Amino acid sequence: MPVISYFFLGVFLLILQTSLLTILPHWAGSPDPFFVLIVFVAIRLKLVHGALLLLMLGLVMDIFSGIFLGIYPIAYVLLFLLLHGLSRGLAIQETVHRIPLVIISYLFVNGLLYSCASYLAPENELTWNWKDILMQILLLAIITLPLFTLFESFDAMLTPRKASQFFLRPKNKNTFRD
Amino acid sequence: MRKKNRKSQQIKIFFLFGSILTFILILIASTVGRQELNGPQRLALDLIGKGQYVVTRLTSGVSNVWADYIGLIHVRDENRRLQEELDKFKETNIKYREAVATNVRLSKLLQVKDSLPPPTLTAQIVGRDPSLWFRTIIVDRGSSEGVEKGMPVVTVEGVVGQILDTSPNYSKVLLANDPNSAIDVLVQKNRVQGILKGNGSNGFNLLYVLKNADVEKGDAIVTSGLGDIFPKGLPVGKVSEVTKSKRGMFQLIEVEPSVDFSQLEYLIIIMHENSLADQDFGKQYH
Repeated sequence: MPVISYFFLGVFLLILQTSLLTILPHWAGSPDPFFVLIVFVAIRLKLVHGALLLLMLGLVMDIFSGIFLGIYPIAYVLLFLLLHGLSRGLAIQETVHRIPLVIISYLFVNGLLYSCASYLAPENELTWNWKDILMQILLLAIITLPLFTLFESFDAMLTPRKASQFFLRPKNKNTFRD
Repeated sequence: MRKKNRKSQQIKIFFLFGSILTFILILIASTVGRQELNGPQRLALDLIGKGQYVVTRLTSGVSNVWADYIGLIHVRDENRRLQEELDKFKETNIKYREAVATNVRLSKLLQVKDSLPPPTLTAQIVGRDPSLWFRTIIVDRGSSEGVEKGMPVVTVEGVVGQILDTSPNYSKVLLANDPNSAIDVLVQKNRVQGILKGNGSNGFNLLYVLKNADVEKGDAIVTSGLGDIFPKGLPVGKVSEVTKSKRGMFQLIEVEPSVDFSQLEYLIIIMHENSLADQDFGKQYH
């Protein structure tokens, strides 16, 4: 059930992103709430659920973006595996790590897309434009925390029991020991 | 002694009243039958008039202040009502302006449509590619209306791109400024041929033009019609920069598009009589 709900939330964000949010001028970039959801899902959901969801969202993204089918599912699943692996050893779910986490993930996915597109069509030269990328990173940094709060509320709605347990837990406990 | 004093006082009062009475009688006697005020009457009128004036001004001042105060309540209501009306009219005005602008755009499209080989189809953009690496758009026409992969998409200003994928009701268009797009073009003035490729931002590169070819800044670039993809002579853009490096056979030519890709709204899909779906779409890139 959460996988389906997140899927529809992702599709909704993608529709917003490809229609309403494109009205901004080119130099201002376009906010990428869909990508923030991808990162949120990658650090929140369990292995099978998360990988399946990101694969599905990647397939949908293929429809709306690009000309090489399959590169988005690969990029998102690789990102999921990377973040899932990192979250075992590092406390990347903590609030202070969210913005750098999203930015690094964005650079990772775009590096992957750039490499795949360059490999699949070497004669068509892509330009790595730092100006556009930095503008996107800035926008992501601005929208990450509000969107994470929103997604957490959404997550709490989907799993009310877990949410209540989270809020009722003893506050003086060392969270890094768990 | 005391009696004498009282008597003289009574006499004084009597005289005083008598004088006043006499004065009044004389006044009455002199007034009866006249139509003009006499001196004392004028004086009285002047004095009373002053009083009346002052009282009236004060009353009217207070009355005005009160009326203004009461009126403010109505003014506030009226102001709110007028503001709402103004907003409504502004909204209507914006709608009318938008309708006029749409009308102008569609009229231009219609003119272009008439000049293109039939059949054509008008489409509206419903979505844009959110990534940094690709330039595609989604339009509201699909295979149920005969749209097929490879069909050219143009606008009033010139070439926009070609159909990349279709669903029954929507299609994905590869814009001409995408690095993966390639169009066979000519320099209009001397018919020098080249391949136009997108540079990923808002421009094109004209490739495979020999160094000895005469190409200058400002030259118009049009479609060549080769490959039966785009009709011949559609405007593509103008040469914005020409560089002849020492090495290599070809010139480096940058072309400024005639279409503003960020302002696209309505497009024309040129339907081919012979379907291109059977052909390998990849061929046109090379």
